[in-house]
Amino acid sequence: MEKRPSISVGQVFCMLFISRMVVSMTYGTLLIGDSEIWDHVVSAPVSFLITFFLLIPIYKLFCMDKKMNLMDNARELMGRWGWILIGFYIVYYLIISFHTLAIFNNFIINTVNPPISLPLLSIILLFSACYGAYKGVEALVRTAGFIFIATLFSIIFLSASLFSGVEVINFTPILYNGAESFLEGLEYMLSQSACIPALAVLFPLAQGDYKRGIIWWNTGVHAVFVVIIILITGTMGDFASTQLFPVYTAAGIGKFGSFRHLDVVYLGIWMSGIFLKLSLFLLLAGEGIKNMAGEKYRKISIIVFSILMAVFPMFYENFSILREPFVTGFLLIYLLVLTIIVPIILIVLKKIPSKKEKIRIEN
Amino acid sequence: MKIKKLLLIFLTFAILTLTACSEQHQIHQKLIVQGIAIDYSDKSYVVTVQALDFQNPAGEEEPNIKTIKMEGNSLVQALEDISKQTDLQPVYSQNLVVIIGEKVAEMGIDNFMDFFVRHYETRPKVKIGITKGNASEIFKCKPGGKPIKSKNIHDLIPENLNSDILHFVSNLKSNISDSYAAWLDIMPQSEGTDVYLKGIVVFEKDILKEYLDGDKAMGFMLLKGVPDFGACSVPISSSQEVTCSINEIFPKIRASFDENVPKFDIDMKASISVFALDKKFDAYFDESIKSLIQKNFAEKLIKLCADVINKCISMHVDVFDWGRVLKNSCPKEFKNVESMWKEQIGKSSYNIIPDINVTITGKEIL
Repeated sequence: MEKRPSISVGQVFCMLFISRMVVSMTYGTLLIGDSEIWDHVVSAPVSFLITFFLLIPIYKLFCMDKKMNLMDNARELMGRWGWILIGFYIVYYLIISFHTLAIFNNFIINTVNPPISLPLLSIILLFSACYGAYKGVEALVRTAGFIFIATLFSIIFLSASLFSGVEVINFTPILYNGAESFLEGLEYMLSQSACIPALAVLFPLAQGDYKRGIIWWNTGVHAVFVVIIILITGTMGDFASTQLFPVYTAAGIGKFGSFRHLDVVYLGIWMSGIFLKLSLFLLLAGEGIKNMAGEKYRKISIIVFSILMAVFPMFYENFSILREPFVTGFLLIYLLVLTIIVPIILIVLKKIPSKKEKIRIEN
Repeated sequence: MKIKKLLLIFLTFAILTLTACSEQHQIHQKLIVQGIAIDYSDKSYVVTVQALDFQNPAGEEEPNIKTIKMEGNSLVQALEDISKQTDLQPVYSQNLVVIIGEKVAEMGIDNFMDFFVRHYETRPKVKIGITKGNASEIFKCKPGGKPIKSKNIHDLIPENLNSDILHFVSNLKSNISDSYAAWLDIMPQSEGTDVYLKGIVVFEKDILKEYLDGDKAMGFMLLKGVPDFGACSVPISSSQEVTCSINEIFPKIRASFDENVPKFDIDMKASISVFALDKKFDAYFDESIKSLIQKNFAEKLIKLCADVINKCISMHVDVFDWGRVLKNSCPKEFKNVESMWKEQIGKSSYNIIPDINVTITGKEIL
């Protein structure tokens, strides 16, 4: 019998929290365009509620057999046809990894501008991420524990440092120019919820109170989002719309006692988060391959996927695609298919007794 | 085991070659920019940079100050010349102040502001100062025989005046408020050695509109909540005056619409302290004098603020965020006047409501 990793629900959600924070911290004009950031403060609670609904189908499927993940169900219920569904998930995990890497590259080009070449930096990051994914989920969640504590402290530290710089006049009336920005914010927040399809694989690996984990994770993610929006708007006002990564800029103006220029804290935490997110999604893609071809191919596939991603920045250094509105729309539709349609199909198939079972019942 | 050995070799290689172990820069190879002065002359930008010079330290712990002058068709082109001139790598993350000359301000600051907004090393809290004449003259000042430091120029501009890149660009982007910046000048009595904060420069969008000094500048500072621009003398009799030190001032604007006309109430909560009369030494500060000081200071405060408000209204500039406060308070009504807000400023009513707390300090004469 296959040995299941022993990790807790808390560890899984800590890992997913960091994975989500990586995107939240790069929240800005690069990913949301000209949308009014302050209106997103309304998008966050709505996204919070919708996230719960999006989680229901995957959670329901998992509750039907707690030993099987979504891919196991697809293979068992649909046979070779299930491979197509598994393939959908693998492609999604890889797209999210590409997207994360593109954000990383864009961030590095625009804000750090290091003397070493960007593809080289991506290769180093991917090498570490590949190693993390190769070591498995237990190693990742342990690392996530450390990063989670550091992330939490730095969020508190950065928030405290920016709090005194908040100017009330920057908080303009919500939805002043209509609901467009609210909808854009909602679309963006939901499209970045890659953690939900990740749970399709991670649920059976963890032990503990799932419902509590989901509530804490979802509340934490959206609460941090609201704090980020309040601090960006309050400290920078309209200046925020000139910045590609306003959270990073805000970190640069933060002051806490004799501490100044806290963007270095941001950089440290964000880089660790990027590593974790890439490792996690490479691992998940590898899990898909394992489901189709076995454990041996899981490890090989992780290396192949990493090489594929290492090659990617060499051909695509501009990354302006991130600014295209269709990217967010595409990610959202893909996410909805993976979190609602596929799990519901599997739930329905699971509820219909198979032919063999029917014969057994008739006899 | 083989994989582990290979990994170990790769990691050692990576540590030694890919990280900062190669191509490292010593601090003396860098030019730590502290202040930038921008002027315009003969159809090109003249940029004067004040930087820390670690190659020729002034003392054991103190770096020298280097001033470099460059020219170019744009700010970026001029700044690019730093490396050519000095063979040093400029670092902008420690820049404290940007001083802009009169000509550049008249041409429009938007022509080069992008550098300070976009460059990966610049920070938005860099302070802005404007001069009358050339900005580079400020760096020529030598208080105590030594070149003036950008740090001292930075400290001259009060923190809560918000004369920095962040607020300047925010106001430009808002399309409702107008920008302003601190006016720096060379002290006339100092024979070109000392710099001081002379007043305020008001902009319409990104173009210089007016210099404000004296009482107008004082009124501006008070409306912005800056208490330490100077003391304020108020009369307490026909021959007697008393100088009040303003300890704290908290302006708060409330906006409303009164029969479709914007109305602004400005609460000015101030705390002042008085410890000596200007002419007579043996007067007794009793309660009646205290309330007289309170009353007269309130009148003076109203006059100072009203004068500067009227001045700005006459120029159709909104440097006190009237529009933004109105937008926040009455969004629906503001939408109707938003497109013609600058014309509407003059039609609005402004009411200053002082709340003065007087403290008598010093050894009381009985």
